[in-house]
Amino acid sequence: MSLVIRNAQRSVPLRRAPLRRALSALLAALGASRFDVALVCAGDGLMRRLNGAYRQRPEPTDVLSFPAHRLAPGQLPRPRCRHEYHLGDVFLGVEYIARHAAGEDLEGVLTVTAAHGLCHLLGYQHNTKSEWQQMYQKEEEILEKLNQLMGTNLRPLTAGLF
Amino acid sequence: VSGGWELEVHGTEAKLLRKVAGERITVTFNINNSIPPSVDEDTQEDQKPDEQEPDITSTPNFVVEVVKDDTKQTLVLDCHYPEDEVGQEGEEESDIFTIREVSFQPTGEADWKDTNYTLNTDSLDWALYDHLMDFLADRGVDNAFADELIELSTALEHQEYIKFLEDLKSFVKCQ
Repeated sequence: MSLVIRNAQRSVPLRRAPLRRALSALLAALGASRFDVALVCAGDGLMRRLNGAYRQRPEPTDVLSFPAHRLAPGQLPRPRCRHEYHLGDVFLGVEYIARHAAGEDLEGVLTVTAAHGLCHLLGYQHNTKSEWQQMYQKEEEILEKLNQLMGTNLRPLTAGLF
Repeated sequence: VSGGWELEVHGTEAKLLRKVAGERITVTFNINNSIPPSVDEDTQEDQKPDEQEPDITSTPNFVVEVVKDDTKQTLVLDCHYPEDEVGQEGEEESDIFTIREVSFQPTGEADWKDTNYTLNTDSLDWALYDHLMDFLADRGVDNAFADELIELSTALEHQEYIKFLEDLKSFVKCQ
């Protein structure tokens, strides 16, 4: 498994090692440790550009996921060659998240948002209530495993979406 | 540069110094050869007359030295900016700077010891690389610092360039 982390923003002080630890644990909880993921910590400008280009919403957002495979929720790819081990890219809108996380532990919010992004890479969606329930359940499950490992108390991102 | 750094400039070499919690941190860079190549000529020919040319920025390699008060070794980290991404329109998706090499050198000695092991980060475990980046960030060398260093270096480079042009003008006029 290779987890590439890039910090492409300047506004929010960030520590990479704790983020890597959390993401590695989340990938293990998803059963996806043998796959590769790229995580980019992005500023408002990059998130605005990507959100505009791919979702026609030219505004910053908290997370954008770009899956490398089309999967049913929770399905894992069956790679036939090395490059098919790449699950996809997750862009964390760190500036946006920091702005909206007033008073909360930023590292925790980043982790919860990253967990949401990872679930999107594995086919989970939240366009309907049943899709959201399925995704919420999976986020709850992997965050609970992380909580047990790290002694945290993290909850899924989309609580109360429906 | 914010963060309580002292600046020393000797010609084209600049040093930023800081003391924090029993450590002395020095960031050294040279403005010579610090301007990355501009866009290629084909692109320039297509440029419309009223379009502004991109700003020239100086992105020097910089060396971070960390000396702890109670050791005789200096931890030296050679850092680089990505070669073709700074200054372009739009945000980029890579790290603002990277650590290329890490080495221990004897404190206080001016000459680099080739016989000391130098770690190249190309094949370094990424978790350890992240720890090294966090190590630098904890000492004030983070993305915001790297951005401000570009501004400082660009200003110094411009200053030296103007001085060079003035010296050249005087020299050419001499009989």
